[in-house]
Amino acid sequence: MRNFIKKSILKVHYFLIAGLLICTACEDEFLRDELLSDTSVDFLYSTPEGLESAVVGLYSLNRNLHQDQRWNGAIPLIPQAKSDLAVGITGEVSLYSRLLWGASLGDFGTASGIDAYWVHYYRLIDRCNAIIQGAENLQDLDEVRKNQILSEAKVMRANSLFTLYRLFNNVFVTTVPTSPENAFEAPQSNSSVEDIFFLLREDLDFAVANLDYQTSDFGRWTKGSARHLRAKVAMWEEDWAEAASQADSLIMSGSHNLVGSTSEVFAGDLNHSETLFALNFERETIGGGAPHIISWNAVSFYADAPGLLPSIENGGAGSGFISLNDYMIDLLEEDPNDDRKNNTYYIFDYNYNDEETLPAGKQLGEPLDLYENSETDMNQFMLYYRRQNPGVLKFLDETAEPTDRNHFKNIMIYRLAETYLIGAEAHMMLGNTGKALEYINAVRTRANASPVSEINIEAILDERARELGFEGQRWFTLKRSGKLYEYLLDHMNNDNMNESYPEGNPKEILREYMQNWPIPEQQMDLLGPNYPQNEGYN
Amino acid sequence: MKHALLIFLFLITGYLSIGQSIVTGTVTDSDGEPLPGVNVMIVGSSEGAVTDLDGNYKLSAASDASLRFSFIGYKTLEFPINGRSVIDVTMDDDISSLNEVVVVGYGSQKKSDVAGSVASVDVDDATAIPTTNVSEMLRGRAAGVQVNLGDARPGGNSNIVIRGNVSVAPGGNDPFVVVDGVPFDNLNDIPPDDIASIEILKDAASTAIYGSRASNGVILVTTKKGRSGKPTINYHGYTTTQSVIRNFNQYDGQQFIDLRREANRNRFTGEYLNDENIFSPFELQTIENRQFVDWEELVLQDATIHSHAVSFSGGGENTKIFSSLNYFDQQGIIPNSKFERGAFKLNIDQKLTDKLSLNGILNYQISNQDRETGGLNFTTRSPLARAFDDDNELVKFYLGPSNFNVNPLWDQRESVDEAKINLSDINLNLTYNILPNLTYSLNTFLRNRNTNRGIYRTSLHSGGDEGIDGLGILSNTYFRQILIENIVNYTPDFGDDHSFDVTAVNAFDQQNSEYTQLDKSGFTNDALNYNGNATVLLNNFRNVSQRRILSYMGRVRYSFRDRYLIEATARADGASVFAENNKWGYFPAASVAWKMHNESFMQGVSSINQLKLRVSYGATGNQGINSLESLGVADDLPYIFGDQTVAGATASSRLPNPNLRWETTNTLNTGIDFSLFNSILDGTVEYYKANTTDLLLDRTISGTTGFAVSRFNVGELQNEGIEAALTGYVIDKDDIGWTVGVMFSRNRNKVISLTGELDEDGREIDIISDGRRLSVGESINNIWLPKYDGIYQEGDDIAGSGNPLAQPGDVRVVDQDGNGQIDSRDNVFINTDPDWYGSFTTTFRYKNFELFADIYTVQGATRLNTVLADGELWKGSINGIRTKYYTPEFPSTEYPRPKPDTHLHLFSFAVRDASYVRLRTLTVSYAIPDQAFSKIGLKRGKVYVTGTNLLTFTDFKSYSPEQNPLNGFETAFPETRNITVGLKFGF
Repeated sequence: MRNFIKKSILKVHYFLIAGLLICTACEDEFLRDELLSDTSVDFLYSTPEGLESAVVGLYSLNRNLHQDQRWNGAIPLIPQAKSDLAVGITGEVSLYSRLLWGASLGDFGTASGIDAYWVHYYRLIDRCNAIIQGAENLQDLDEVRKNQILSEAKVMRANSLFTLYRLFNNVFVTTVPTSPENAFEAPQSNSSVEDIFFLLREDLDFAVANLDYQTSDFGRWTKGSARHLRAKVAMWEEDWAEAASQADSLIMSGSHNLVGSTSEVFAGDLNHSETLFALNFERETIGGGAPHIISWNAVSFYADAPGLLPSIENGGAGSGFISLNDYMIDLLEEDPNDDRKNNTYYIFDYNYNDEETLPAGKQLGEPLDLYENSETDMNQFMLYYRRQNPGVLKFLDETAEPTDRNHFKNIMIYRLAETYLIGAEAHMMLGNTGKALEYINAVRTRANASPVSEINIEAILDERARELGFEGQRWFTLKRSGKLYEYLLDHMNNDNMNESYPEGNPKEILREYMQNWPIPEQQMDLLGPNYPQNEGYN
Repeated sequence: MKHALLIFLFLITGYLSIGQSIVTGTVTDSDGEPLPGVNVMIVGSSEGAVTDLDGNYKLSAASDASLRFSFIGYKTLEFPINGRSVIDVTMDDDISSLNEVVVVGYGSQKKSDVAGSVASVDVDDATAIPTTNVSEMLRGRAAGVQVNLGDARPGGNSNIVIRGNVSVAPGGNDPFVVVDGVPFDNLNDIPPDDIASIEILKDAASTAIYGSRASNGVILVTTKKGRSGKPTINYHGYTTTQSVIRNFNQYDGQQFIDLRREANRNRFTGEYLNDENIFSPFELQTIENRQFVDWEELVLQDATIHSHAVSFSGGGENTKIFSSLNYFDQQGIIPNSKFERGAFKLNIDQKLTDKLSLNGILNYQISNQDRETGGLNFTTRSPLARAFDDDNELVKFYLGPSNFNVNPLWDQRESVDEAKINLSDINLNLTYNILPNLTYSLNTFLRNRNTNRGIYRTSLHSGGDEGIDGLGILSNTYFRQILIENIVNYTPDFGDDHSFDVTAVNAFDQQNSEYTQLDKSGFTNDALNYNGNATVLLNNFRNVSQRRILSYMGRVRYSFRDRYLIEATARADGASVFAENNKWGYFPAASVAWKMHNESFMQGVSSINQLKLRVSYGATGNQGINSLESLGVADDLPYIFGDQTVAGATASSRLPNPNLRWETTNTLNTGIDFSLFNSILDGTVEYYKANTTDLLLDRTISGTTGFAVSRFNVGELQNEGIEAALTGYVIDKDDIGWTVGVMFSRNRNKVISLTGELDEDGREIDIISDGRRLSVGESINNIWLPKYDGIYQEGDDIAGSGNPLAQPGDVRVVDQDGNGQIDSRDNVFINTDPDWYGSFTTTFRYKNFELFADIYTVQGATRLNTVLADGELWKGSINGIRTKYYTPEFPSTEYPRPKPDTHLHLFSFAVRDASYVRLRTLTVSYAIPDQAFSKIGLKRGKVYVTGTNLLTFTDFKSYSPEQNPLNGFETAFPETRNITVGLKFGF
């Protein structure tokens, strides 16, 4: 007891001394708030190491949209769902196909998924702005290092802005990074198309001039991806000559080639000569990101059919929420030898693999054929769509357990096959039919389809559908060529599905103004009072 | 009458002759037991004595002097010596609230002298419920104190809001908890059996002394202290059985089948789809075999609580000791969940010299909290399932092999989640009586809390299978708090008419927190769970934070003739969390009170025993934000190029604000305290208005900036309310007593102003802050949605409504602007705050029996029921709350029609009244007469039976009217109905 009290007194002395010291210590220093385990923004944007780390951060940020699993992973598939090649069967993603979500101001799909795009790409633009300004302000930064930082940030900015503009039309853009001082200067109006494209051209031309074709870091922007993007921008401006020249340079560069067969395009980690830009994922690895469930959305729920168990050969875990519509299937079946439907890009046959539940009269290895896409009988066509409709294999992680929907497959964003088709279209517009045919047939013959001898915009759009379907470009391509409304009216979803929706046939809901996405209301509220909403939405 | 007698005594003593003599005597209580530690003072001097263990005292005094006998909890007595040499005194318990002493900031005060708003909690009533959640014990115990259930799990917590939400900052509404003079970061760290008293300081005048963190009120807890005298040992033990309560039914197997069929019925033809189309092959099999699963029954089981508390109190003239050992063990009704705590406390008062004394309090606690597997849901799971196979073994994929949802019981079996918490506190207080009326004390406090948590998902668990080979998450939180206070108290003597009390404090408070987390996978086997060796490091986190506060404050109390009381406080606080040049805040407060009953003109009014009017006004500050919000912070965003991980970072989506400063709340409080009709009716009625300015708002920024939020000081918020607390001592006789208490609280929360920016219509624009929508004139607690308007019926003008595409059976909402579409312009604000809440308590005793009942009610509260709002429920794809839904044959006007797609406006539909009335506590106790026990030496024996949450009346469908059935995707840990049997006795 006594001992305890003695010790306590000692302790009190210690505190007493501490107490007195504090009274006299410099209060300002004492009350300073410090970063004890976080990286400071100052370091990030004002040192060479910080800037390089911030550039890496851009890639990571850019990947976030695709690993978003909210609403059953609908967000990364919205452009696909809104295209003319897909049929929305069930799940949240199908609500976008059916125009129940994301087609009006008040609906939840606009407030959630559409808003996610707006926020995502603007965030990227701001972080690019901060890096670009930081690098330009840095005095003693080695020129090569500086240009690499600037180039990557500029391509990322251009890619983000280009996406935003094509989706939302009335977009505002600045090159000034956000700071506490300017954050509440709400934009009063959208930027002009001229300003937007001036910045896109400037950024991409800089990157093309300063980046190399080769990189030891697969996944970074390169001269090849910058050229490809520059060509896409030129196409949007109908600057066919520029587009053709960028495509030609890239195709002739020797650094990128179409891989030999369609089965190689989406195999493995996509680190091959055709890939221009891909998002990188790696299971159980720091920096490897979170899994995506895109493949699960776009492969049918074949495992619910008798005689089938989940297997990688059949496309892994699938829910059949969204799939190829009849228009797309017909395009792929146009040429019977076209091998893109033979489990390379798409899966048309799910094969029996479970002896235990095998239906009578069926053999293992035979394709599932129990269901029929009936024109009117919902009992028939619903089962067909859920279980037997063709699916997409472009996002399939071959290393995943067949029961696991969480995939770490690298995601293809831009590849040389699209450059070929851009080149074909640009040359066709310039009247160089020979070159146009050469490019389009390079893509066709690689897929074992017979070459074409005539070319027109429809042929190019059809070939783009077959080759690039579900890679996220279709909606933009149709919008660019002015055919979005017409093609959607003709092909969207499938008519038996369209007519079964209790809220109404989406073809009757569709309006031409929907080629611009609505700017979500919660964002409009934060913009200047006169900031224009896209026409049609009110 | 009493006063007349005193005056008479004074007059007599004045005439007596003067001379010193020795006076001795014994002080006993009304039962004849000696009272040690009683202060015996010679009136008009600072001399006196203290009674010893046997209640004896001895002193030397002038034979014409008077002696004053005082002891906390007893009525103070005064006797003239009148030349006597032996004066034996019997002291009566002070049951009158008039002379109750209450603990206030940095000291205590007679309750009748309190000029601010201070509520005392009846500790016996409060601790009648079996829990470690002390916040729950305050529910209904004091007017103006609102308790909201946070987490009903063992070791869970609740949120206390005193007089409404004054802030929208994340930590901005927690009251400040002070235990034995030192701030506690967690009220639940106090074993309930150790609590001696709880006071709640509500207005600015009372809380200003705590300035910086007191804008939400202060909860002052005093734990038991040693008393000199015969050592006493007390034991209290109880055991409790807990069982689930809910007021909704789930769909059983057949009902669920019907729901699914109804949902998939063709809207145009009314035909049902084939079962093959809407049920999986596996489900068809369960339908055929009629094997359905009641998940709740499989998961939940009744569970017990055991609690044992032993305390020791004793001491001599110079040393007083209180020590206690507490053990608490609660099993959760969800197996795998539990909370266990052992607590040791030692409180020593040691007089070191005549002038120097030391109080030391030591706390040491070890707790273990186990949690069930993450994402456990037994509320909305399909009954068309199979939990066990033919051999009665658990089935992993309960919806069949082609569906990858994992049996919750399976994951339960394959999951470990344990937190081990070590808490040690050292609180040393050294008091130096420089002069009889001048003291200095040094108060120091050191707290260390170490929380070690290990989570393991085995290689069979859905979180650790499929090539992960076991997932382990190890985390450690180290929390340290240091407090040093220098306190000077001065009570100058300016004669009998004046009473002065001056207090000055310098305080320094520092809190450090260090968090480490490692996520690992690839375990060689599951045997060692998270302690095993992993081969893959998935993630690592480190978070270190610190916050400091430096304060200077002073308080003056003055009372004139025990009628007029004035108190003034000023405080300066510097807080590290604010921006560089805005660290300091200044908070003054003042109060006045008039004890009307002491006025001569009131002496004739015999029905009024006490009548006190009081007014206070003052400022308090709020710093309830996280550190670093004024600094730019980057998020760690690594990426992988090829196979190579590369470090990456980007500015976080929170934009820093380099101008962050204090949020200030100015509170006006007026109150009247009364005691009427021979103290049969006591009560307090109060009105307050608290205005918070420079709100620490988390403001949503335009997406075009690339940032999401930034903290801002902007706007004004008002809380205005009335409170009443009445106690009636209806019968108060020796053998029989009946007491009735009523509490009533009503608070109105309203945004007064925001940024000042106007919209096109000249209205101040709304702000989105932390998921709330703030709008001038509205409460900060609101739901902003279109207004629910029933269910579309056949024959309604659907085409002309806000949703022309709707079908009969769909949810109808009001199209406010009549433009034929529903969007956010049709949203309205729905206040979720209760209109009022209150409690009714009654205690009835007859001889040794006592009955205590406590009824608590919340009226006018609104909550969005997330299960009713889930579109999957109406698709028949998940289970949940069963309703009599709309069908074409039996059109409901209350519930929508099941359909294959998500209904529109289900959120509006799910906004539900969450008012309730609950019989919270019903206790019957029997005090065992001491003579029945005396042979074996036991005393103060008492047995009791308590029922908790016995009856609840509410329309809100859930496990608790204060909580949604689901918390995200997992079932919110259900509240329970408890039956407790307890025993108390002493030596």
